[in-house]
Amino acid sequence: MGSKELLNGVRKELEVINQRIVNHPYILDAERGELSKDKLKTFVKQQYYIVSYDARSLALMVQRSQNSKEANYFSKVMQGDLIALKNLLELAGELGLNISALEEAEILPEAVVYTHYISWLSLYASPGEQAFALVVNLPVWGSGCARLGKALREKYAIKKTAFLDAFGSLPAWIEEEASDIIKAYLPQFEARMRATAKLIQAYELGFWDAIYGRERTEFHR
Amino acid sequence: MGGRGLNFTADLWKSIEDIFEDIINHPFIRGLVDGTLSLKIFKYFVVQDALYLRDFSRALAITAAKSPRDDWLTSFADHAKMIIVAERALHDSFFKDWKLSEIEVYSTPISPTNLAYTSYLISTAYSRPFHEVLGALLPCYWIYLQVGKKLEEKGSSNPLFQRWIETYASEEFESIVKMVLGAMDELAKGLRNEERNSILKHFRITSIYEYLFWDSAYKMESWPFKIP
Repeated sequence: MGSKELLNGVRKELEVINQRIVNHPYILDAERGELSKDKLKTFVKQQYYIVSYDARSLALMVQRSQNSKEANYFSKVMQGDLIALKNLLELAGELGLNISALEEAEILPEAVVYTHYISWLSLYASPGEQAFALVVNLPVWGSGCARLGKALREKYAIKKTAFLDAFGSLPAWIEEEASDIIKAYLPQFEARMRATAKLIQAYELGFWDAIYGRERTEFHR
Repeated sequence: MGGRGLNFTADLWKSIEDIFEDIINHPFIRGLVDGTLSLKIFKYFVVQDALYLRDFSRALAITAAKSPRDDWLTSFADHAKMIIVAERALHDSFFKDWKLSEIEVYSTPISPTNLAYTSYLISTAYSRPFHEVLGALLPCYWIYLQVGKKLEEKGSSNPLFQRWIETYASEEFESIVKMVLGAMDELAKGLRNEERNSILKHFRITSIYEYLFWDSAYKMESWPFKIP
């Protein structure tokens, strides 16, 4: 099986959970203008922790790359995260959160499982699995971000939504170049890639559940 | 060792003046300036440099991951990416001119000195605290800049060598080195004397490796036995 077929197949298998992420009540509430400002701040506070560590994990993926093609790919994704970190600070500022507020914010354990898993992948997974996890997750995360960004502009008059907008319009190379990297790890890592995809999307849903205030998440059951 | 000067990086430079003096007077460097360095040695050096940069960018990536501050994370991650780009630039310029393919470059055995140096950097990056990692990485930035400046003053009669010299004497590269020096001074303010001494130790060791790198290129160092 080729990398594109595998990716399409896995996306089909994950359609239910992906829909739950994209149509999460957190996003739906924001689209109706019914999400509290406190919950918006919770999103930013948790993302500050997550993006900062995601960027570090991507740096480790660069280090563990097997060739310059992989190093270049993870390096470009890392650069995207570093820009996202800057954009996030702008969004935080508009919501009245300064650096101290972000650094001292309470971290919700279930909201950050995603980034801890990315750290795990950066240490133990092959570059193929790492790239697979990114391309399974990023478009779904990006769809949620695009809708949330639009809602913040339209319902909350928030202007600095570049953090959300950038994830909402991912460049084509993210998937195209990943596909090439993944191919080199097939069929050896296919089973692990499938497992990785399920885990990362469960953790993604866990993030939205946690910031919405749900106590129990899908992956606990 | 470990004196508390106004800025720690001044102490660091003082601790390697003898090494820098020998680098500047090394026949490799002198040959670059007067144009007498053989092309064969220069080619050997540039290929080994590409192999070095590949691992140096990985050490930088670990450094980025270990950075205690987000602005340093951003800077070291940027440097790692720039080095990957610089490595590509070597392929697009010198290696293209010499008709050396990527496969040929990367199937060239890494020299014993180069392997020892890069292994030291990666091992330190993985296993030691951030301040020690910075101490180990700093000579690569700083010595290259200083060598580049010295060489730029003199220039080279060989256009090929001149092209290489210009890469390392650029203002862009100087601003990168200044950022790393600033980070080191900032970091050193909060360190105990023994921690500063551990930086001095790494800094001197990798400065010696810098010397050995030029020296090994000049001698076209190879393995005494075949390696796979």
